[in-house]
Amino acid sequence: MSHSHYHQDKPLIRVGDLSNSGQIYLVRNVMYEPVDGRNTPDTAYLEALSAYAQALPVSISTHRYNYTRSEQDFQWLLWMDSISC
Amino acid sequence: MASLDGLDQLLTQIRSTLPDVRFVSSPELGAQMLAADSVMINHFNGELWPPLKQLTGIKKIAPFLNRLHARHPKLTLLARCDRFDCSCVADFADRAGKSWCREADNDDYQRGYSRLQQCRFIADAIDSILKQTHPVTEIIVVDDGSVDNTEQVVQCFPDHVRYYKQVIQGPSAARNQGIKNGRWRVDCVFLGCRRSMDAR
Repeated sequence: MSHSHYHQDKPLIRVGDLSNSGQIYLVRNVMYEPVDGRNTPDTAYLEALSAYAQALPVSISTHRYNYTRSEQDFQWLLWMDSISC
Repeated sequence: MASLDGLDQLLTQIRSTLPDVRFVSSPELGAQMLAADSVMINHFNGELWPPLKQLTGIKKIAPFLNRLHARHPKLTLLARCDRFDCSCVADFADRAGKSWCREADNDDYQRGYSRLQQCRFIADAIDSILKQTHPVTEIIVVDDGSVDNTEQVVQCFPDHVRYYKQVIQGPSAARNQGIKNGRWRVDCVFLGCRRSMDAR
């Protein structure tokens, strides 16, 4: 396959779609990022139910930083970022 | 750590209520978070997931229907034949021993492949209205052509829950029907039967 051309992704990508190079898109549909105070286990569970009702795979998105600091630490870092800008 | 406990709670909740879910995880997440039947992967291998590979082009509906049927046994199919290849719907219906019908004229189904019958949700929807802190004087249920036992479900509710049935005409006609048959000139709240209301 030629890589000389830039391919723009489709504007709307659904789970299972193929990219131009044949990769399968896995779209995350459940957000579990508890230290931000919004994407908690309860909201993530509701998102999982929604995906299940649509017969879609449940893909949970979570990041390392959720497990290395508390919510208070995270909010403090956000505040430090905001005053340092 | 609270986040790990929360993740454990989330996975346990999913596992207990959605029993056919199979977990796939990267090793970085930690094997201790998952049960023995989980699959640990470093790289996604599409060949292990044939349904995902089929989700391209016109055949995307077949695996979708299969999964939907497994989770919603009361599925009824309405297919608009000039929009896509109906043969996959017919094959699916034959294999699942289900009936299906063609909808060639109804614009409501231009984008739809299947139609879930809603009787399993209607009781929850009516319950949520009856639980409102402000008393509800009248509830009108307009059945827009369902072929399931919606009517029997609605009959179980008190008398001020009234039921009307019409041939399939879409949500606007259903709302007009509700307004026409209302006894009171009050504010109306239209509630789809897959939705419910918070107690307020």
